[in-house]
Amino acid sequence: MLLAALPCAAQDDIDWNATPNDVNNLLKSMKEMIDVNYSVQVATLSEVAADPAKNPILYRSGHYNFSYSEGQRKRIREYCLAGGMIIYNTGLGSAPFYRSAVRELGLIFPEQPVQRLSSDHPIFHSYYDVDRVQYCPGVKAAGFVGNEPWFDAVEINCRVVALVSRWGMSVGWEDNTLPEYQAYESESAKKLGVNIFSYSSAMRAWAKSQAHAIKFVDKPESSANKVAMVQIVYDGVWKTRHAGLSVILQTFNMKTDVPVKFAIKELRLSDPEIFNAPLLYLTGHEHFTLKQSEAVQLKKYLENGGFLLAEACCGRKGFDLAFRNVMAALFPGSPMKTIPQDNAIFHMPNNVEKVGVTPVLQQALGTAVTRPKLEGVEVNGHVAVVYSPYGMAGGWEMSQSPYARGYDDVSCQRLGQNILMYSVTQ
Amino acid sequence: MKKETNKTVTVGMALLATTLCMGTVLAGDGSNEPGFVPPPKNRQPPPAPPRSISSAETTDPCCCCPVTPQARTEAKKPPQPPVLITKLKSETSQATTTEKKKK
Repeated sequence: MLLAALPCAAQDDIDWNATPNDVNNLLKSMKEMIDVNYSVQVATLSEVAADPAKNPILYRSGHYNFSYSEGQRKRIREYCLAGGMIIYNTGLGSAPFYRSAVRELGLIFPEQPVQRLSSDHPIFHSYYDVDRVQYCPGVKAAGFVGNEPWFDAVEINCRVVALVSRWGMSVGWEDNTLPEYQAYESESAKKLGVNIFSYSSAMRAWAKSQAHAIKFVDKPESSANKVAMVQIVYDGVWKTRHAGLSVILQTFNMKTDVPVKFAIKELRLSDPEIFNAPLLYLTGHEHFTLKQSEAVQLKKYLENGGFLLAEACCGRKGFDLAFRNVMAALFPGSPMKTIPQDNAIFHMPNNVEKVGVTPVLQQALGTAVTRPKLEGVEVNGHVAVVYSPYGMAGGWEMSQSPYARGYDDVSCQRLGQNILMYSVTQ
Repeated sequence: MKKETNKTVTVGMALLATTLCMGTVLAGDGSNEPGFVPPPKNRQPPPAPPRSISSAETTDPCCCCPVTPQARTEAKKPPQPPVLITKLKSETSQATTTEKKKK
């Protein structure tokens, strides 16, 4: 084991710097492609400033296995949570490096799984639309058939903080591709590079102004007869925002004087304790599935008078499609329908006839103000499921992501309060 | 006798070095794992840094000409755009470089 720690200097250099011109060339290309002028520096992890403003993006490339010390993991975690972003480029698709990067990110961010990003993720659309790419033939020879880019990432508060490219980008940035390489062709690699750096810059500026997690604490008294919420835990990234639920409960309490319990329980659907909760909350960004036993439990909960509020965080399509599939499988005879505008959910305690939308949704809809859209599933004669295909949790935190397809902050608050009121008056 | 001892020590050292290198490989750099791809062989060196003085500034004045003040300019400071990306190098290569510098 001691031997494993002994470095072989020659190999060491060839590992992190196997493509010495990669970032240089990418920056040159970025100047030509989008007229931005940035520079690159080379440093060890211990030399990197903890403040992301001084070194906004860290880039690590390699072919071999690697691991960090506990101190290095802590350093990367703090840097990323402060607004920085780290990118791992798998040199020529070398699997040991890729596996090491994924394993290390699992240790650095144990609370948030590493997840492959679906093609509607903003990182594939932040500057160019690159949800389809050109690969060198070596990628197909390695067993990957498809033309979607392959990025795995850790997302915290709707922001990618760490990203792993499964296939090599650096040879493409260097204009040095060969057919046998497990890598992106140059044009795709450069477009992906531009997108990563555009995304990172926009998100870093936003992360600076983002509200810090607010901790709401219950008064030490009985929590009986208070609105309490349970967030559903499932396999995948089930928690997208850390403070949104508490904020909306607090503003709901201020608006209506209905007593609330700020502590949010996080439970799997298999936990029988969900039957004590009047309200379940389910959200996410990407595709997910429920285990058979969990789906059965959710159906039982809803048929027994429970209420589910679900939301496609940031208006992401992966979650949207997955949630619709889950509902269709649970209640095949009761399809999800748009809730009509005259329903009480749009009028109590706030009259919400129009809502403002985020810039990205405005682009898609062609209007900055629209009617709110909620969908519902009726179970035993009452609306037991309320679903928003557009993001609200970011607005509850009063900091929608710049790439969110959702409602503006004020509309999110008003609509969220109405949904909570609807759930307690059902 | 002394020669033989030296020879044994040399062979021993060589064997130890081989074992260490083999150990590094076998102990998990991943090069023997499925899916490993070695770094590309056609590595292109990074471009030379831009010149900060022109060649004319280093030319000596003509020895037979009357002495005239030589026109010199300060070393140019090219514009330094803000750092966007930090390319991470491994800590070990820094240690190696430091050791080399000391020598």
